[in-house]
Formats: sequence, structure tokens, C-alpha cells
Amino acid sequence: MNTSVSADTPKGSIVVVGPGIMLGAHLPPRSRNYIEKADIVFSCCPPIINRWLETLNPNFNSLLDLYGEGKVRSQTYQEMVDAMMAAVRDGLKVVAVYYGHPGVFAWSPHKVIEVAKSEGYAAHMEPGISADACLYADMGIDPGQFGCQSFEASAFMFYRPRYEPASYLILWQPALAGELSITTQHSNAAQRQVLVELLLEDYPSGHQIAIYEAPFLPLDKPRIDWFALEDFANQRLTMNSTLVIPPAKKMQVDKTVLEKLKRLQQQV
Amino acid sequence: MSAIKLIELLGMDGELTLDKLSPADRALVIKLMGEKEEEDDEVAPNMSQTASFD
Repeated sequence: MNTSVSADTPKGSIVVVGPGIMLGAHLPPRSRNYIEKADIVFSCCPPIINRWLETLNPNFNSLLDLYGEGKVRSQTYQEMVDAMMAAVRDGLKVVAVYYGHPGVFAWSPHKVIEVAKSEGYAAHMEPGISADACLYADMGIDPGQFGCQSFEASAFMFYRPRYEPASYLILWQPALAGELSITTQHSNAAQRQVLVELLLEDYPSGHQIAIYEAPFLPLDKPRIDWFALEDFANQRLTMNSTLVIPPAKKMQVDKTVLEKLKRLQQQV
Repeated sequence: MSAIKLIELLGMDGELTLDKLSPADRALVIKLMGEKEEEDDEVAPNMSQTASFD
């Protein structure tokens, strides 16, 4: 096996990992190893997760200080990339930790890998456990049974993507549904009611939907609250809430396609 | 063992519960859970927002 490194290969590197959702329970062994052996760890995780990560590697830097009230998020994200890349360019073995799955609903982890690779540094992402992985387990949902589409709630409202009401529909961050500013963690009932009106185009008002929240600490239980679609706007929502909308109708067989496939099968 | 390491242990074990800890360890874990709730309130207001128009 040739393990030699070309003299042209820059020394620095970056691996992006995720601790999963539940503290202590979801960090893959391989990601933990990367954290423990890193020259420097950057983290964009809730404070208590950061306290734990610091026990795994004392060369620890929280990226949370880069957030600021009223500060444009794109600026914060770019500053995260800049901070991590400065360490990579210094020749350090860098590990970045982003809550949940590091590649889900996060811009800077993907960007820093793109930048590092473009400059010739070794860079990759390790998968982690995301909120939807917990949701499938806790709610007993198999996304393969009827299909499953997921959108960020506000993006679902802004862009009106085509979706199939015979499949599961998962809307992320419903607490912010319809919120256009960057200064609050919650949209108001009127903004959420706009989402309800959009969904009523395809679902009956009494259709049972659920708010799901994955357990964060080992002693926590998942939150699964069912209610009618028409009552969504006044539900208690947090930044950890996910909206789950089960299918409202049965999937229909496309007989034309099926006949075509049968004919092809007979030709084999 | 520190409170954060006790939480990690609870997470990794899967069968270990609060009532199986010593009273001292249990008190440490409960205290940390209280601190976590306070920390949640201090998170930057736009930290968790993603994406739609960024």
C-alpha cells in the first residue's frame, strides 16, 4: 500500500462531522475519533453539546460567537468558513462539528469542504444522525412505504414546490414558517395561517398532522403532538419542532406505465 | 465523574436511568439539565434559522 504524500499536497485538512441529536448517544465512533485526534475543533452546536465536545478535545473553538442579533446570516456563515480555512491553511488537522447531521440545513459545512478542496486540501464530511432519522424511528414511519418529501417550511411557502399528498410531507422549522426577518425565532399565528391555507388546497381541514421534536438529552422523551391541520397556527412550536403531514389519499397505479413495463418483461 | 460525562454515559448506555445513579451523581445531572434550559434562552436569536433566502 502506498501511503506516501506528495510534496505538493498541502498539510492542512478538514473533516466535518455531526454529533447527532441526542447528547452522547448519536456520535459515530469514527467521528468521535476524528474529534479526539484533531489539532483544533470548531463547533456550531448548542452550548451543552459544546461543553461535552470540549471534554473530547480541549483544543476547542465555538463558532456560536459569530452569530449576532440583526447580523446577516450569510455574513456569519462566511465568517465560519473563513475561521476554519485559516486553520486549515496553517497546516492544522481541523475538525468541524455541526449539530445533527452536518450536511443537513447548514451552508457553511458544505462550503468549507468546497473551498478546502479547491485549494488542494484533504476535506470530507462524515454523515450524522439528523432529526428526520429520529423522526422515522420515534414515529414508526418508513419513508419508503408511501414516499416522503421534505422542505423547509418557509421555502415551501415561498416557492410552492409540487408535492404529492399521497406521500408523507415533512416541513422543517415550522416555528419560522413565513417569517421574513432575521431577528426572531418565531413567526406569528397569522403567518402560519398562510401555510395552513396553502395546505388546505390539498388536505381536508380535519386532517391529522403532528409536531415532532427529537429528544435532546438521554432523559428526554420525543414530543409527538397530533392535531387537526386547521389548528396548526396556534400550536406551541420551538426551533426543534418538525411538522409531519401523513398521506391524505392512496397512491394510484399508473396503468399505462404498468402495461408498458409488462410488455417489456414479456420481451425478455 | 463530571455532570457532562454522566450525561454522555446515559446517552451511550441506553439502559442506564437516572434512578440507577448515586444521589450525588443524580443531583449533578439534574443541575446540568437546569443549566441547559437557561442556556437555551441565551442562544443567539438567529442561530437556528436557515436558509430560504440566505
